[in-house]
Amino acid sequence: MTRTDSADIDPDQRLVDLVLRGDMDAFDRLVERHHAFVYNIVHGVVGNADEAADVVQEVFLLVLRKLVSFRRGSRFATWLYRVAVNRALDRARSLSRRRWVPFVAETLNIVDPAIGPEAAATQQSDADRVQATMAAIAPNHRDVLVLKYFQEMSIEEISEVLGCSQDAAKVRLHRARIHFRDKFRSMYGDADASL
Amino acid sequence: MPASDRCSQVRSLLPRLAAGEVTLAQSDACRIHLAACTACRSEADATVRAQRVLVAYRPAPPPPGLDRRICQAARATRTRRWAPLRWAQAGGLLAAAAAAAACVQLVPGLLAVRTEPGAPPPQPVASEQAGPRGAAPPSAVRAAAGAGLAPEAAVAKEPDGGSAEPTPPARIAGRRNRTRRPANPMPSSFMDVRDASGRSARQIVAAMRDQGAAAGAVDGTGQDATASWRTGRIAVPGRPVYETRTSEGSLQVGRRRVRTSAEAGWDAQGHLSVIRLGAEVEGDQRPDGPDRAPK
Repeated sequence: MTRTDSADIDPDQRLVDLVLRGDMDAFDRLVERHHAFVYNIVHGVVGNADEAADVVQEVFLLVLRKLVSFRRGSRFATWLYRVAVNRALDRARSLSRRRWVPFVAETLNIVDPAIGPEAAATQQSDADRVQATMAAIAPNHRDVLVLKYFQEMSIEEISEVLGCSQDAAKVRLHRARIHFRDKFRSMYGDADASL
Repeated sequence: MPASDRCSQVRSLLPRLAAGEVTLAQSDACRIHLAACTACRSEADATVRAQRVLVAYRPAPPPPGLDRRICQAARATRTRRWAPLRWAQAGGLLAAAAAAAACVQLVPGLLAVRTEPGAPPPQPVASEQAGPRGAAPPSAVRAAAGAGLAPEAAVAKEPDGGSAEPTPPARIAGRRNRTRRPANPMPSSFMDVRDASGRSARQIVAAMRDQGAAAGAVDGTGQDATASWRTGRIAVPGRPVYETRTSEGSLQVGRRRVRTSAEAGWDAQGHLSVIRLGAEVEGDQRPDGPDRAPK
């Protein structure tokens, strides 16, 4: 047996084997089991529901295509989440780099001009603020925050998904927290909070 | 220890302190300092607040039917893996056109765009219209399947991009479906619209290609290029609802890959109100982890 301990206890191993034999029902079960988790990761990093759904589909189809190259050095879920994070980062960077060229003078004004930006900000819920702040920080800070806070992963799990050491994951998380805090503060100001 | 050093030391611990990841001794030391230092106290309050909203955040559930959509796309990919990519390559020319348009940025001549004279108003777009194959999977998936390709692909396929009118979607549905389909009440793509001087989108793009440095990008298509399109809706309170069509594509230009998007939107009266093009050059691929995560 050359498999690692993590692979031995992988609850998805049997389904992966079935998929490799061409059983698409097994793939359906893998999708059913993991799609919500993958969606949450991708949505947290990409910040757009439609884009996230597209990326999730890309991720699963890519995994299906590359499943034969899965060497089982880690759990299937960890591998899947790593793929999801990579694809989500790619898409997030892509969205941030994309240059939109308006063809017409009239463009959609998403913020109602009758409501000032301050009033609009106060109408936002904390969830909206989190999303807006996440969208404002660098994608490589989003991923670790998503894994830590949205998916409630441990440092060990985060390091596996990100493919780095636990110390490196801690450093990334520390920096990401600081960036999130500073951005959140600059966007929404100070409010009462106490330790 | 100087006060500034103490402040920086405490501030470096604040994120972990707010997350409860420090030792009791560290926590006590921080609290003693925070009780006396208003600047650090303010920093700590902001840290705690950010930590609270992050902890309280609950991600939205995935859209209903996403798992079913993925499974259907997976089965379609499996069955159509070896389908020819001819139309995909043709569609890449549209993507190249979008790239050219975005790169050249000939915005002034395009500022007043209207729908084609006499074109009937668009109807709400059903999900079945999202693509020739029904669903609207991502472009990369469609490329792999060799299916679901943009009807505007045939328009962009002609190399000169000169005076001919865009080909109706029914005539370019593919070799296996030669039956003429009923005309789509909505312009099939942004290629069906005209600017204020009456130029078709294809003529606009051709002019851009002739004038700009992006010509190289256009000429570099035909190999390893893909495109797809999908429909959508933009709904903003107090504004008209826009039906949109987005064409997405990618093409290989030398060693770089260019991703492109072209979006057109119509309100309920059939007036073209939103149209935009986007292009970007993808960077190098990152190395993957031990169990190589496929790109």
